[in-house]
Amino acid sequence: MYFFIEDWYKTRHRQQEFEKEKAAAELTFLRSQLNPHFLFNSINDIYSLTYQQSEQAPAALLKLSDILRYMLREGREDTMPIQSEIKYLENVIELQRISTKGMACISFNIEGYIGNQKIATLLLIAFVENAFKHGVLTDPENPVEISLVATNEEINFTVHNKKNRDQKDKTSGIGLNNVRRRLDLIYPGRHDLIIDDQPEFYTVNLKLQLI
Amino acid sequence: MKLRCLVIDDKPLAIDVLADYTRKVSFLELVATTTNPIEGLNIVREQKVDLVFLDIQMPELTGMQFIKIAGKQCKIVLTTAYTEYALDGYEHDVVDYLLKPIAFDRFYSAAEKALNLIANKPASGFVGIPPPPGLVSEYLFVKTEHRIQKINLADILYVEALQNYVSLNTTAGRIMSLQPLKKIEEQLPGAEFVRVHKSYIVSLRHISSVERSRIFIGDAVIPVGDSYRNGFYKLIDKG
Repeated sequence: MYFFIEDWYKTRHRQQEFEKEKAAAELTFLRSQLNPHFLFNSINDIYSLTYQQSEQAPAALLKLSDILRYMLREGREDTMPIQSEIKYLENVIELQRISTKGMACISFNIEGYIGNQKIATLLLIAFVENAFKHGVLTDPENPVEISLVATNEEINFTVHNKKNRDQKDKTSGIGLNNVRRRLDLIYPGRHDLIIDDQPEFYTVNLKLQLI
Repeated sequence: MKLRCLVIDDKPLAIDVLADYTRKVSFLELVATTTNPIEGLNIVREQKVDLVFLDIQMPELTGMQFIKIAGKQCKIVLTTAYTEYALDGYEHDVVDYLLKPIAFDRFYSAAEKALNLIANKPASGFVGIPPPPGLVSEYLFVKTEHRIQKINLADILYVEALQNYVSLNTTAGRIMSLQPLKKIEEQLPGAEFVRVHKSYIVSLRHISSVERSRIFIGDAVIPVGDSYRNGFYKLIDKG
């Protein structure tokens, strides 16, 4: 009888381990969904800058290599200090500005405490990329507004943009589906994602309990 | 002849390079550039554009939708930083597609392809304008299933129409194309290529011998159709 119980516990333990590994593998996969359009378009932008012998070329290339390094190295960690994530967001936004020759109207407001509190890696970027892909970037009347309010325990992150007549490929939805899945896996019961999809405007609000 | 061209890309930096490339090619004339594909449609309509360098991924209107609307009015070279659309593009009858970043020589060969297509197969805007000498008599481009194949005219032995496609028999082998025989015939210089049957065009330079109603080219025997016989004999007698 004793052996039966021990055996049952072992099986259950193994089952749990397996579930855990499966979830970890899924998370790794979800994180690894790089955005090839962004990467190759950035490379092309930098090609263009070097072709024109622009003084912006070296800085743009450094930003791109920071971005790549972050995605490939730090992106393998489950969590990162929020200040690193923000630096990453800023790099991506900066490249977008260069790409539009300074015509992009993007605001990024940060309030509260930005320190070493941990946040799931490469999570917030999905909302920003989504806005870049489907939003109007160059209308001064309707800038893309990104805001982050952070404390040590929680964050409130919002991205608001005017929608372009969105005719882009259907694969574009993958980004946000990934994010939903990741939120469910990493922050079960500790997140609140509200998407306000109006005819003209699109607003995403994410509240996250970090601890 | 100059091709009037337009560059459409939602990324201004991408436009810069292509615009500069067009200025380096003597047979291209840059009419306009725009980051807005809808404005691009207007430019095509109003300014007699021959060739559009078109980005695929754009807000407002994708390259594919642009082709559906304007593809009949001008030739298209697709440009993209990412490859998943390549084959789809060919279904829409594009001249070529270019991967960004685009090297100048690659750009040039796409422009050259467009020039040949337009010169050999007059679009409405070119009726009556003779193609530049030297271009017609060297090669042609035919659409095969997966690519546009360049064929040296001097290598073509004969062309045979089969059920749904055309077989171009060349010194390098057979090339199948879905284009109708008539379309191929229009692209071949009449001085050298002769229709001898409703299903055959032969190259005069490759004929080995002629025997009543049969032409021998290498190992191949090609029938001469009744209605073509007189014309054909007149032609070779002259030579």
